[in-house]
Amino acid sequence: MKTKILFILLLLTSPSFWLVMFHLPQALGYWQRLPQSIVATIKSKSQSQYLIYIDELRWAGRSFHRNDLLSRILYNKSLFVLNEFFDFIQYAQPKLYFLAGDGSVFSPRRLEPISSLLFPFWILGILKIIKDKKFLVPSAYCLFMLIGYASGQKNLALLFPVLILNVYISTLGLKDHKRIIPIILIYGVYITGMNIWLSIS
Amino acid sequence: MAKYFLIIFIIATSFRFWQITSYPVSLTMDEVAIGYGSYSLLQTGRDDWGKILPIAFKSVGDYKPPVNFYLNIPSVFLFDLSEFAVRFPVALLGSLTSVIFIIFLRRLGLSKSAAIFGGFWLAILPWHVHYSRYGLEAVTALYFLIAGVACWLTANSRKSHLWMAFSIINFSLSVWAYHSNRLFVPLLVLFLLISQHSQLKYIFKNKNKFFSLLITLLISMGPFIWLTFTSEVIKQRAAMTSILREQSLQLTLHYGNYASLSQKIFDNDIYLIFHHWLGKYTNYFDLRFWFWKALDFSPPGYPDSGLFYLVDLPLFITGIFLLLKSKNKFLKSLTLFWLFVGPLASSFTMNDQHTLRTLVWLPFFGIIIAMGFKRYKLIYFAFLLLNIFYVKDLYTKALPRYFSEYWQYGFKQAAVYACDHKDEYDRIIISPTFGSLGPLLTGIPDYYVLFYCKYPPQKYMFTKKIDKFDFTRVDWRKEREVGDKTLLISAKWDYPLVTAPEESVIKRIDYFNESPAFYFVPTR
Repeated sequence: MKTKILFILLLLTSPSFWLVMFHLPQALGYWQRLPQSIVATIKSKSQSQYLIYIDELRWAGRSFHRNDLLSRILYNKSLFVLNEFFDFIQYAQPKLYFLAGDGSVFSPRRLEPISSLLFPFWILGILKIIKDKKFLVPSAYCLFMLIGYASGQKNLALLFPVLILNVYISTLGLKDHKRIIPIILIYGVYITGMNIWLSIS
Repeated sequence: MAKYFLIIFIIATSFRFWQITSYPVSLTMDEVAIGYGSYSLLQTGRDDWGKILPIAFKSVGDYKPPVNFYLNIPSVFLFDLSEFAVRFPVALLGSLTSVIFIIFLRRLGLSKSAAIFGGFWLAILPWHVHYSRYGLEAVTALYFLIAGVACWLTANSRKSHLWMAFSIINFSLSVWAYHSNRLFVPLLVLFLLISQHSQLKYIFKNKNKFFSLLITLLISMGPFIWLTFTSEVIKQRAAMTSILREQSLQLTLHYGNYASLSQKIFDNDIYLIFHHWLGKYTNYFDLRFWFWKALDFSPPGYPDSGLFYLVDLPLFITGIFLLLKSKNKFLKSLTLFWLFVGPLASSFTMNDQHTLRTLVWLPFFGIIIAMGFKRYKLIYFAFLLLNIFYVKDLYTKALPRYFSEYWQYGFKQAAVYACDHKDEYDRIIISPTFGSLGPLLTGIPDYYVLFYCKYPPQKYMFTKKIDKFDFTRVDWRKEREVGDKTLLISAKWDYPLVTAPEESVIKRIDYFNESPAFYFVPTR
């Protein structure tokens, strides 16, 4: 099956794709408020509790001098930068896209945003991208993740481009496993049906 | 190669044996229970329930795996019943794991330098060092697992029945040693049989040797299979920790009672359990967990250590690329298998991101990081020292300060004091409930008394009582009315200020965060 057709089929059997489409005005509203969200996020970073925790560990209790050189080398603002880097990485966590969603109207709590059976093929897709050195996809991925990170919200409306890329990566991993494709598609139809049933009931 | 083994072993032992009795700050409940069980075996040939040379240890009701009990016997014999004796065997096995990991990597086809680096990496790995330092079965099981694979690959390359027998024994010991391996090892063996079936023909060429292998398998695994089907011993731990016991799942299940056909289709229990399990499973695929916050050396939200050093991250990424480029098909398929199956056993249990139960996953990361080493040698060693000091600082300062009570700190001091002064009292009551924030934690102070007082197992095993000791919550006013001279050892929650004036307190033990742990209050 051609990659494009498989990608479209997988996208159409992803419940969050339809939920974002059906709630498009709401989704666009998040994008419209994005500049304000970014400003609020930047402000909150400067007052982050994490900076206080770093100081607390530097002091390390009763018997160590606050200005001990080793403590200052080990516990400083670089830890904050690294923490923010890993916070940024969290926007790629597979659980968000393949299982838990964000709990909003774009991915209700019980519903898989993308078919969870695609998760292993997502990993295979990543391996394929690394092997073939196709750096355009990971670059776009990081760029779109940055939008979510800058807004401070794990919201599938703002992360919709990342969701689409995840479906594409899963397509790359799945396309060589022709016998499994029908099972994946049937399961995708099932969870899309579940989406409809959850909306009605 | 021998000199590299020695160097790696020395590095591994230095990380694991340095102040081993001080960090972690206290023996855990499992350590004292296993230590005393080994002591009982040494003295009487029976466990602390009176069973002769058991293959399943009831212990505190959790049916611990037997391997560490028997491994501790020589250590207890040499070093007496002590903290060092309990921690020595696993620390030693953890150090040896670094050496056997080199052989494992070489057998898989990695270069000599990559394999030696892999051994060095494991020798200093915070994830493995932390658990090697406190006598846990998972470290023992991992050693036998890696040894089993190394022996298997050696057997196939040399077409040797003897090495295959060693492989069977090591895999079996891994299964006996820890719960997670009871799921992982059979799946691994199945994978090895399928992927290397063409290389196994030599096994059947000599009938006598083939039957010898079958007998080896029967002796090493037969009792385990027998126990699985005839008692609750093997199944109990799995049942106690299963995700099916989680309330968050139980509240959503219908137990067959569906309101409509559509609910039966779209909201059925099978899907709900699958969905719940998958949430646990995907939790483990988290870069933050791998490289930034995993080991809980500090409270939630604080800087912490991941399973690996931060400096391992570029090696990991490079290693993936080099592995994909490799022409070694077996290595690629084994690594892929380990990637997906590694966290499987722990995903069926209640806790999220359990670092001990996923120790079986470690070799996957070791293979990748070892392969990625050659590109980043200078950068790696330049930043490694900083990483090590950072983790060491968290381990020796933050971990005791924030979490000493979760290591049952204070029970040792209580037990030692009680035993030293027991002739001065008619009774000694130690409360099992403790905690700095409230009576939220429950321990097994009886085992600490057994351990630190070296109570004769012959007296304990059939009565399950210790002379002069009771282990219940204390009531200071009620005990005063009884009339005898009793020493009460309890957390402050059992002494409301109005009933136990401070001058009654003859001793106090504090946690490392300076909050009170235990008060010692005599009734007369």
